[in-house]
Amino acid sequence: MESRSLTYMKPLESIHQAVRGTDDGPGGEEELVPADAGVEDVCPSEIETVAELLEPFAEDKESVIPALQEIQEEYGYLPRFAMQLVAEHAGTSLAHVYGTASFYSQFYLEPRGEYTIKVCTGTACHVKGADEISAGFRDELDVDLEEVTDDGQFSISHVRCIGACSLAPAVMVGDQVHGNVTEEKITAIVDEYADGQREVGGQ
Amino acid sequence: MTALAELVEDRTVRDRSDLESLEREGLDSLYPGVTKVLVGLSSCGRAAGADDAYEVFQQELADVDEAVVGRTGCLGFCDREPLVEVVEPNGESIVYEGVTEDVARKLADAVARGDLPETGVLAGRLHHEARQHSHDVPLFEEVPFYAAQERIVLRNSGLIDPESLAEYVARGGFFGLHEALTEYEPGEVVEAVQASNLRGRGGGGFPTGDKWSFLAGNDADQKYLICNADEGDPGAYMDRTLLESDPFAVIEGMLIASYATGATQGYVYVRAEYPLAIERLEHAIDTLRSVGLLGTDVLGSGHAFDLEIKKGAGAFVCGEETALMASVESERGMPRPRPPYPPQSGLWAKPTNINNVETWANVPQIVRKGADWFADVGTENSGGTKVFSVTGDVRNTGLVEVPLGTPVETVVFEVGGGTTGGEFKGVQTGGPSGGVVPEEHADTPIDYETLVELGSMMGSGGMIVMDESTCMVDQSRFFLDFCVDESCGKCPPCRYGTKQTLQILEGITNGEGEAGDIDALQSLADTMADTSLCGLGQTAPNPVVSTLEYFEEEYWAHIEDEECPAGDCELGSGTHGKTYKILQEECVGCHQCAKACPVDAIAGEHQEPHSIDPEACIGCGQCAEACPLDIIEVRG
Repeated sequence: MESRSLTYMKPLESIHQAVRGTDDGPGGEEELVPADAGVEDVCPSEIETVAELLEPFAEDKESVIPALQEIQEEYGYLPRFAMQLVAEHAGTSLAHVYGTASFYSQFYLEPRGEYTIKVCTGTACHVKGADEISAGFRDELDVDLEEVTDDGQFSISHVRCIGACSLAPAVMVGDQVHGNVTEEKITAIVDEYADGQREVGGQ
Repeated sequence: MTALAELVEDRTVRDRSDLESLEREGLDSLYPGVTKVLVGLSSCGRAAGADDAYEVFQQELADVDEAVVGRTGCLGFCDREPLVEVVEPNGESIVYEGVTEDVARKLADAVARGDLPETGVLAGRLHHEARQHSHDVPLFEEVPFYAAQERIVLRNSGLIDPESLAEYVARGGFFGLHEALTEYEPGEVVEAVQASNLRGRGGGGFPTGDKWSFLAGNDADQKYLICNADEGDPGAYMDRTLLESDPFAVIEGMLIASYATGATQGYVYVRAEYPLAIERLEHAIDTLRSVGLLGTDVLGSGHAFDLEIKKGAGAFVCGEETALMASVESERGMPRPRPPYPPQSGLWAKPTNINNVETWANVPQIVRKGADWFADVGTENSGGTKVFSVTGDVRNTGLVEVPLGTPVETVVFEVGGGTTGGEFKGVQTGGPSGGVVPEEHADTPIDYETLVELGSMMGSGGMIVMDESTCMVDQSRFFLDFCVDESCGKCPPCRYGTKQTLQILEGITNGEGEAGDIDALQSLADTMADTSLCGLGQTAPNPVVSTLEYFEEEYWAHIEDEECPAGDCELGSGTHGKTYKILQEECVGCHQCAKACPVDAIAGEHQEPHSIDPEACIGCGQCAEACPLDIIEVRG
């Protein structure tokens, strides 16, 4: 995993202070925290946060997926140190946790934008021009698929059917579905979320 | 809603009289004696703006004593959303379509005045004891979209509040469970389901009662039930809508099965892409636990059953039962060879029965109305109805429930209202595992066997209508692209076979097809079908095989003539993906290019710059060759 700049990630603010095992933070200069920072790299308070998230789950391998989902809900992706803690909690290896996480398309091992615009590429949306819609969002935000915009606000993903086929083409932001999207509507949809104006559940 | 939730909290439902008192409350809430405005708030409605409409009604009618505002699920006619039904105290109702915020404001005003408009109407219907409609609106059974439908599974959708247990009970809910628990031996319940001819609605079509009998016959100390709500087939959303609109029905089905088979713990494995379905299911489970309809003493019978939600994490292959179980166990969702089958060794190696959402939702009705009634609805081999999500190039998109045995053309032309303009070409059923029912077989009655005979399959219920503008090769390419992404990679026939097939299809749609491609596709398809580990790989070539059978000439047109007859895929964009442009500043208007153009796509006055009509251009490149100044630019 390549190290990446994470300073823009909201939840990462705390990690950023936590890095290198100190609660004081790196001082005036913003230091970058890589997604693959391990438990030894983050401060105790960060570990505590994850430990609290893990508490309700049985100390068993069957908790791995729900625990990862909870962590991703908090961080927007799965930082390495958190996966290590999941492995410890579930009594399994990091390799097993990583193997599980990397199998499923909804787990992200890299940070995401605050909002992920999920462009549906299911059959009905495909037939109704999902490719153009996806290209339109990429143009609008000037990023590629699975990339994060410079301001950390948006990423774009493709998903296989969100079940809004009668409203094709559709996109989903958080838990909100936008139907009958046209290229003209793209700017308006982005503006709706820009600068954290709109609260959304989910990822 | 709030009032009801409080009401349910501190009570238990232990016998028939408790159910009956809930039933009375539900009837009061369904038909409150004043005008009721019901806003359809499932995903489709919300995406179309139903939340805003709901808010408007709440605000505008807050001080109106003669009206209440309620929530409901999906009426199925998704492209007319937001749908709002106004039920008058006498039981007459009008369903309005396209009720966005502005329309809602006007409608709220009309409701407050007690003067319902007769425009913007989808249909009217009669509730409760109403016998005739005094408004000049068509009734549901007169609207083509609903006329051929028979709603068993969707009977409560768009009628009850999906979060109201009382309203569900008022529609007969949990009386089936009560009957099963008090009047039947577990074995008799299994027999009833067998006699009903109910078959798996997830697509496989295995007789549900037989499945149950395998689990019932296993005397292990711990047995599990699973509800498969991992609706991964792109283009299908029946299960999502059902969970959003009538979650209690699905759970009641599972409760009845738990009694019949002796399972004590259940799981609902639901896609994480369905947040609203998860929310309503969670609410339903919490409510049922609090009143004692889930837990150690279900309906006071001593029977124990509890239910837990497991959220999927995005993997199509998890719709396969062994992969699904691996995922519930928090492993990678990879299938394993069968046998052993789940009723022998399933979840955590314990006997397990898996059914799909829609299958479960049928069960309460079978118990309440009898196996014979249910069997009579469908065909000789399969009882009941099937819900389809009809989308694509069709006028009326939405959820459609028709008796099994209904001809494909009835769904497309009567319910669906025909294509959006182009000539009807076929219907894709069964998603990436299915195939095409072409126009010439449109009279085929829908059933598990008939669709398989045509080279397609029932699948979970996606039905994508295609007109002449759909390229069949490209459609296959789309599904193979999907399967390449979703193949779990465990077995080589699927891992390599999907990729190889996709490459050939991409070549054909790019104009690089070769004569041997058709044979290669066929041979790959045979190998994958014979040797793949699970259903995903075995059926992945189906879209190719099916389109080869009915539209082989389309493949050949791509390969031999480098043309897409549908004008759809990259070849069909007419220019082989290339754009030609004459540099205006340098063109001297010699007209050579226009003479060379075989389709007269170039125009321009003598000695004036010429230009190419991109709509007409077929990208043959002859103009560029003819240009003496070499000023025709090629892109792509």
